[in-house]
Amino acid sequence: MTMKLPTKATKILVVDDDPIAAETLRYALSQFGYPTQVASDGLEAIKFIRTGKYRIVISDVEMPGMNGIELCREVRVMNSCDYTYLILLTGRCDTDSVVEGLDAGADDYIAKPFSPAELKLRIRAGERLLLQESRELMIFALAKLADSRDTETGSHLERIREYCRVLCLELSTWPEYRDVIDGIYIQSIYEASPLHDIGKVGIPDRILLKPGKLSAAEFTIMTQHAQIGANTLHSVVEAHPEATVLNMAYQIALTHHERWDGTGYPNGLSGNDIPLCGRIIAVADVYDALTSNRVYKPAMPHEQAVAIIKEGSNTHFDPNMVRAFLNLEEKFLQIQRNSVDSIETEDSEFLPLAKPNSPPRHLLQTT
Amino acid sequence: MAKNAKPAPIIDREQLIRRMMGSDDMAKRMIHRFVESAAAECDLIESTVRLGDKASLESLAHRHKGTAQTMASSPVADVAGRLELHAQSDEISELLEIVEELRSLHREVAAFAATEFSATPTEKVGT
Repeated sequence: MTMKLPTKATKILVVDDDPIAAETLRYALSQFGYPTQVASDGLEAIKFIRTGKYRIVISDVEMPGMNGIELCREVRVMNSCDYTYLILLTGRCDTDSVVEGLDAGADDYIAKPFSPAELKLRIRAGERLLLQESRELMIFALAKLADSRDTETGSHLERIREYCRVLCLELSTWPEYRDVIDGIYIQSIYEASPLHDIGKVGIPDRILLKPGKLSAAEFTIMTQHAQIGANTLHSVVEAHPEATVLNMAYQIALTHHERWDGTGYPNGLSGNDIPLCGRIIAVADVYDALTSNRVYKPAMPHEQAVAIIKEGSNTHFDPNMVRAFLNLEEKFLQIQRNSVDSIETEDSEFLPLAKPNSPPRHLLQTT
Repeated sequence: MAKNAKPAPIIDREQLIRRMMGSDDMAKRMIHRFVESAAAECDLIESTVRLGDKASLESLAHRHKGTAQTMASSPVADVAGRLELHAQSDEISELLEIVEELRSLHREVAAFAATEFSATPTEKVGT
């Protein structure tokens, strides 16, 4: 017998200081099968949104305390991995008001009083977008699976994408990157960066998990992970060239160990021949490697890591990326501190123990 | 509005029921809530006028207009809209006249609700 997969209705948060409007909306939503919570202003809404239970928010614009526009802005700067779909529901639907709302981060606009049929369709549009995010989460889960063989600590991928995101946010304010790094680029690198080391699935355990310094022959094998990952992703990209995120993931997997001066691998690309995303993740990956515990070495202090990256400007790293990093080093430290890792202990029985006197594998040499 | 045009009903019953997803019960519940909250709402608006708090008046009038639209009452929505529009510019006495107009319309709404959506004791809203 074939069973239909159970589906869970999206929980919706209604934000309106008008109890009659809120109740009417809540009733319509309940008729469509959506569990609903009501908040009477933006501040109360933020508390509910922080619980992570509400992925769609329908908010009035004019409210005391924090209004709908301010709420949109606040939600967009919140450090949340899950996307919140924001619909503004208001009687003010002139062009200026709509532009202001969309600019603040709203995804959609509905005129008040709402038409139930229109409301339902707009929510469905939001659900489609959120479904897309579920697919992206699956990509992340696959990246985690590939990463789980490595000795890197549990939140490595989460930190990497955060580092990439803040670097992009900084660079997007620079004139030379303004036209390249837009919202889609930032979202793409956030989703694609965790796949940078996916090729490590093809590296034998004896090399991947070796606690000491790799021999030249082992290092050569290790460097193949960039090409292995790229090959895997390339076959998917060829079949789906429209998939922006996978295309970027391919570039990242292939180029994240290239160096600005051309001495990196696998292709010895240099300067701007290295795709921008590869140059961005190079800084993020090295910073994370330096400041994280590994079975073969303790975490390095932030200041020391900053000094190493600074020293690598124009040789290992794109000088612009280093400049951006230096502008953001406090944010990097904050991300790093918010994700305090110890060496993963639950799987440690499967990992080779570091010998007390074995030399640390030098991070800039390794993967 | 054109001179010969038929005045809008105090509540457009069909539109109200459509807004309430075709539910008479929901329409009844909400209109009684509208009636019950009207006096306090008008009092609040009036005190804001008397205090000369124009920003709050504009905001309250805007909210009241939205509520009235939800309840399919275009006469109330129009007067609340007028109050919103003139909140920043008109004299207190003129604004108070508009508030009085609003109160009068709400009496009509209450009469309409009593006739068209009479509440049984057990269903009475606010209890």
